[in-house]
Amino acid sequence: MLQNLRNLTIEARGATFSVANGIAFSSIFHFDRDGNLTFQGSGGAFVGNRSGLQPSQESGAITITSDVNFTFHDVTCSGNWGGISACFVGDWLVNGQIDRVTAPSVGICFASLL
Amino acid sequence: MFSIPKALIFDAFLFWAVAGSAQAWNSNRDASGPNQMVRPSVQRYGVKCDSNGTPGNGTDDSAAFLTAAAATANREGFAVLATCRIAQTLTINVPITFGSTGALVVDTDKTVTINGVITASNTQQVFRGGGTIVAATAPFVSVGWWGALTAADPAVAFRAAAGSNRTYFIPPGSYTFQTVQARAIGGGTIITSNLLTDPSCAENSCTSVPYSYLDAPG
Repeated sequence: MLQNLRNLTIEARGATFSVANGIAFSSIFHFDRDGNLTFQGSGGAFVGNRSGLQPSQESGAITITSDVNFTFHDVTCSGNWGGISACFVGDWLVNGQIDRVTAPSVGICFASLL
Repeated sequence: MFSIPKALIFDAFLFWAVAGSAQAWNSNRDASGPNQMVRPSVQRYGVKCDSNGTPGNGTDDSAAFLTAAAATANREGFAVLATCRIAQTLTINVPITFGSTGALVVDTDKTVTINGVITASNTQQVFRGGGTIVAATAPFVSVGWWGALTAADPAVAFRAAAGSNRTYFIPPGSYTFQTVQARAIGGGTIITSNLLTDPSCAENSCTSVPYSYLDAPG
């Protein structure tokens, strides 16, 4: 969790993220109560992994909660984000922008927390 | 007969050595890169830097590092060109440049806080050991400095590099997170379902909480 941060620019060009098998209710990145946040993921990917998970157990690539003034550019969710998995999860958001998302194999593109 | 002082020759060599190792550095950091100035080696101030990189190995350079910081405060900091052990909690208030073989190895339960620009190759692990290194004011950090590219669980490095007012650089590569540290957030639910079996929700059946591989400890 990257929590209570301000003026943060994340450069993740060409970086590929995945998770170990069998951990449910997880998110690779969780941004909580952050402000002025920019994420750039061009050329990289969040690779979904449902191995070891029950059908009812969710997972997410990026969770954003209670964030203000944020942008996410060039996010690719590849691999298996099927079932109730989500590329983005979040709520309580102000003035955000998410663009250039590639998510060909996700159950949910953006899941609300409520 | 004109002669060049030895100290000047030494500094010129350090400039060449550090600048030469900087060719792979990210262009984002040019403004704070070593080409801007010559930074003296920390070993000129009594620092031994004789650790082999294993936690606890080598001379404790804590006091000498503080001496070096004080001595170089008006010279924009110093360069670390070898592996140095820090066995005490301390704060360094000057910029630090790491050469291609430079690193700090911090003892377990000790914390080194750096107030200043940190310059190193984006992919080089310069922070090691069981202790904590806080880049408090660095405008640019790379998770590679904490070993994200080589660690069994890169999540530890990702957590350590977090902070406000910075560019948080993640070098190209593959990162498979192994650990989850749970934290509840505001009672919200993630994909509400009666089928969820999140054990942390045993006392509150209406919520399950998003776990993050990057959750901060505690």
